[in-house]
Amino acid sequence: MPTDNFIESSFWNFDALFQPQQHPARDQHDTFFLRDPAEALQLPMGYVQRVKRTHSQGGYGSQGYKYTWKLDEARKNLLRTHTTSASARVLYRLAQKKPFTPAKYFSIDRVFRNETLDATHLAEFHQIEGVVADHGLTLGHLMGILREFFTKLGEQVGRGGQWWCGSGQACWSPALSSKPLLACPPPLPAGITQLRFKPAYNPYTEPSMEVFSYHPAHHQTQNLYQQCPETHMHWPCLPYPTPAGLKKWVEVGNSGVFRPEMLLPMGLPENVSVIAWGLSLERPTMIKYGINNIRELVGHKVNLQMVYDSPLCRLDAKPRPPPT
Amino acid sequence: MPTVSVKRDLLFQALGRSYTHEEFDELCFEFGLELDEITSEKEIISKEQGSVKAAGASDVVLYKIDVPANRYDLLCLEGLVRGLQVFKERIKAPVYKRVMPDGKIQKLIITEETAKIRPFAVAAVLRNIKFTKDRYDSFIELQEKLHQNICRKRALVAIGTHDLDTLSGPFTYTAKRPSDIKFKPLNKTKEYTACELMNIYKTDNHLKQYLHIIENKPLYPVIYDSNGVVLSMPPIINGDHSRITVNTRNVFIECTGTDFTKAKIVLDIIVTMFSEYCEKQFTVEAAEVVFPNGKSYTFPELAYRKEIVRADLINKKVGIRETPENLAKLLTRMYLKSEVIGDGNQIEIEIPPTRADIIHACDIVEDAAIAYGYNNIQMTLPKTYTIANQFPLNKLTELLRHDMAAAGFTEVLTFALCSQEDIADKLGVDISATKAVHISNPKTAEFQVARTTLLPGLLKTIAANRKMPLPLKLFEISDIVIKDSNTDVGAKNYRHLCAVYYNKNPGFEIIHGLLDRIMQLLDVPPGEDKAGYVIRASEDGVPVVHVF
Repeated sequence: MPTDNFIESSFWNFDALFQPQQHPARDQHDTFFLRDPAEALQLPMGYVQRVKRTHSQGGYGSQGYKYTWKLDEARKNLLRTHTTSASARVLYRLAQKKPFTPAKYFSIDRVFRNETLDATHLAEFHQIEGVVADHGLTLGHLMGILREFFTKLGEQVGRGGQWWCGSGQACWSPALSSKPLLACPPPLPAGITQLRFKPAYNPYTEPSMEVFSYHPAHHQTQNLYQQCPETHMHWPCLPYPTPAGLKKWVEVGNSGVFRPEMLLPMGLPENVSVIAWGLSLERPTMIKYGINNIRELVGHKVNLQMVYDSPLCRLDAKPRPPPT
Repeated sequence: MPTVSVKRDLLFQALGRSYTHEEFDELCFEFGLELDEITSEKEIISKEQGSVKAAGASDVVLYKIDVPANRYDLLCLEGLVRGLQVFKERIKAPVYKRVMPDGKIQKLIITEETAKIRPFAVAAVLRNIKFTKDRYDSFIELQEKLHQNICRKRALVAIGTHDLDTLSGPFTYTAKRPSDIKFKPLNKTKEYTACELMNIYKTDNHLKQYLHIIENKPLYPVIYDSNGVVLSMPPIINGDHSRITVNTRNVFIECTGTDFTKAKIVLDIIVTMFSEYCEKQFTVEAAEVVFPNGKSYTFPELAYRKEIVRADLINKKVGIRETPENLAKLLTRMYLKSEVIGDGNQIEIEIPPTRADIIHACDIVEDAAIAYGYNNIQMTLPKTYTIANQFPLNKLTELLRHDMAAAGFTEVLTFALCSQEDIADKLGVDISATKAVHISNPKTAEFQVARTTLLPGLLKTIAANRKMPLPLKLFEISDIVIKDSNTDVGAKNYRHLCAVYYNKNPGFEIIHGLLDRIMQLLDVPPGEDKAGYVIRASEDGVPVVHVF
């Protein structure tokens, strides 16, 4: 999908996706709005009217949100908060082509969020998005695609990229350490499948599913750092403290079926379903390489030596066994 | 995602059984909740303020549960328990009823002064309610959660709950000049005017964030009873006179705001959740609200809506094959009482007032899928046949990247946002000449503009890697942003390639060689013929490439 536009209007970023104008994500705190150019110059007015009606009064089988929809709000320009705005544009274009032909799209590009910055969050990061539009798609189809997609992403990402320090215990470690460490995930306990799906909520998809991947958590701790009992080295934990005693399912992506309130005003036929999924690029990379500060991976503070020394990224290769 | 904190033992007591951590986590996962953290008050204070301050705090185990942002009915222990019990088929969903009072109905009269500031109000009464300390805490907590969530930090709706026995109706909701409003607010010992209160609360950590909602308006909203007692000054603070305690038996609830739909939803949620503790369980006493135009409404609405969905539609959308009867059972487990009607293929679903999130049949489809169990659905692949293509611009970029690396240059990935100086002053250019896109209210200088050139990112990378052995040969092929009034939004991305050579000597010949190599790769021959290129010196001495 063409995603070469960082600047987007609120209309394509939010309203066309059936995200209401009072939604907290449209706050100054979460979104970068623009001073110049402050407003979009052109919007497809016929479509805009249909979107306005759906938000404020309902229609297409929906109750709507029943609030006063404002054109000024939709005109506000911003730095896109997700690549789903590009998907909306592409789907709108697809809807204008008659007769309808099924399509599968993807994109990998930059998005911007005005959030609090910390070790794992930057103002800009990359999103991966996949979309399938066809007649009669089901939730089962979405799950099937997700299983194939995440399987291809490789065992290491799916497993949470554990690193062993040689003592036999699983530890997390920074990518750059003087002692080279290897990823060697232990076998899954019998009967546990690798991916699980959990009900979730997005304003523009229903049903929505979060995708979880299993990895065993040997260190049952809520601390940020843990000490390996053998080598006494301190390793930082990844940013999800594990409630003591729980085996850990880690979220690897989000997905869902786009709502009719989003698709029908575009002009897509009623029996066409569109399923979509997305994940960030940085998080699985940090998991795979055991990186704890995102600034070591993205931006101008990246250590060039790390770039020089990194091996090929081979998602389908088997990890090396730990040293004996 | 909103997080609800509940005492584990209370939760298990209400659910009627105990769970291990794993069992409860599993239950949450199935239902669409997430057990985020198991902690205690002591641990929380310990983390935030150190173990000394935490010494006297409670050890009682707390579960922090994440609930979906659109499920206002799960924001308190009462709602969670009810939802889970119905899900597990241990109880039938209670039916919420609005009842007319034995005596006079409570009235809230809105005057026209509120129109410019906070025009809407709704009200209801919880009659003969029994609070315990835990129920009382839960009641206050729910209001706070709703304020943070659907009420958009009180801007859209503000909730006020009052001890009805300390007041006498009818109530008046009006707006007055700040200097004309005087009352003793909650937790204070004497009376203040509204002006004084706005000043006092400027330093109150909890309330200062709401002041802006009414601060600069000529009139402030205020609610009085028939004796002139101030119930509240929404959305800031309630009056002390009508404060609720554990011993309160009759509660008057008022919600004021700028969004009528949300005010009604909020009221419905509070009364449905806590009418459980009324003598006549799950009944709510009606109140009347009279608007300035004379129109009068009875609240709470507690509307039950019926929607009819075809069974085969649900099966088709989810990818399962359940009988209509089974589907009706699944939906009933999700608090959507359903039964098969008509020709045996239609399901009539009753949507309760607690499920304002159900606005389309697709919401019903999702609930059916949740009750069925997402992980029980068979995974299949779509039979869609499509031919794939890469976006030409990205395809070219991918090809170029590898050859740039082959030429001995290392790729970097730098930030698209930077300071104004980065793209202007530091490059000897005036900011207005850059046609850059400016961000409003950037938190720091690093987010003032979107880059109009890749050069600052490369130079910053060199600066951060000064200690590396020389030479440093870096490149980036990525987007910059320029204002363009010919596009629908007013700005456009351009794909740029930038390369930098950093060494003790300038190495112009290296960059020249790289450029020639790039042109070779792009099939642009040297020379002034059509589609060729030459390098010329420009006025300020900087060599410039002209492509024909």
